[in-house]
Amino acid sequence: MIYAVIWFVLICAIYFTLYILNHRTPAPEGCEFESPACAGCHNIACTHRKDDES
Amino acid sequence: MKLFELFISLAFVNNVVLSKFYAICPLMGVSKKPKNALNMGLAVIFVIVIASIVTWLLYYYVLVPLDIIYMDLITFILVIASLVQFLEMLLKKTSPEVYKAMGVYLPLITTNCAVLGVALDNITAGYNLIEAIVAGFAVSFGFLAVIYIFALIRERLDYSDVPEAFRGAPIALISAGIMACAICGLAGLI
Repeated sequence: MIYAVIWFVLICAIYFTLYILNHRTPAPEGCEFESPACAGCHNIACTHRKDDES
Repeated sequence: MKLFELFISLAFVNNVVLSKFYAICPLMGVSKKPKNALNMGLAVIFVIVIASIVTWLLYYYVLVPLDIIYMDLITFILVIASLVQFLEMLLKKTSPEVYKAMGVYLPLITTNCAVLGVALDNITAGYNLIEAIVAGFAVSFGFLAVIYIFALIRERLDYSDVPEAFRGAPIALISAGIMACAICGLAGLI
């Protein structure tokens, strides 16, 4: 059980570290996708959804 | 020969989208334009192959020795999410052209259940590492083939005289159903 808890904490820590590092890494010039651009589906909860459709 | 059969079986006969009905969301959402479908398919190949390797190694070298195989689902979900973040960061730094081509579709793969499905199926089927890599490539290639063909069909449907009630998602779902019926014809090939 203790291994499971340690493993869970470890993989969560890895995920959050990579998430923060990725968001702090600037996109290359001309490749900025910071604003949501996807209009693929009608999921209003999706963070990639186009603003004008929400 | 066994690997070739595995590839044909997973890419076409047991196609991940049309026979297992994984990844229907990106199939419907990102198949409006063939170029977008192609980019999404390539991004999925990229992620699924790497996810297959990483999840297989973690399962057999971490979860099994520690006797915590019941943690496989949560592990694979977090590993796939982490992997997508890492790949996005790596592409930003090293390959702006690839990053530009994949665009917004790379982070969207985190929610593609085919990636998780492949990781779990590799374990359930008892594949070795090479088979897991071939399976990952085959499944993602099958996804690419289906989403691209589906995008070409949808492009033609846009110019077709479809009854008002069937326009958009309904005719797309009917087309997907017909494609699923067609792929049933490959059953028994392997």
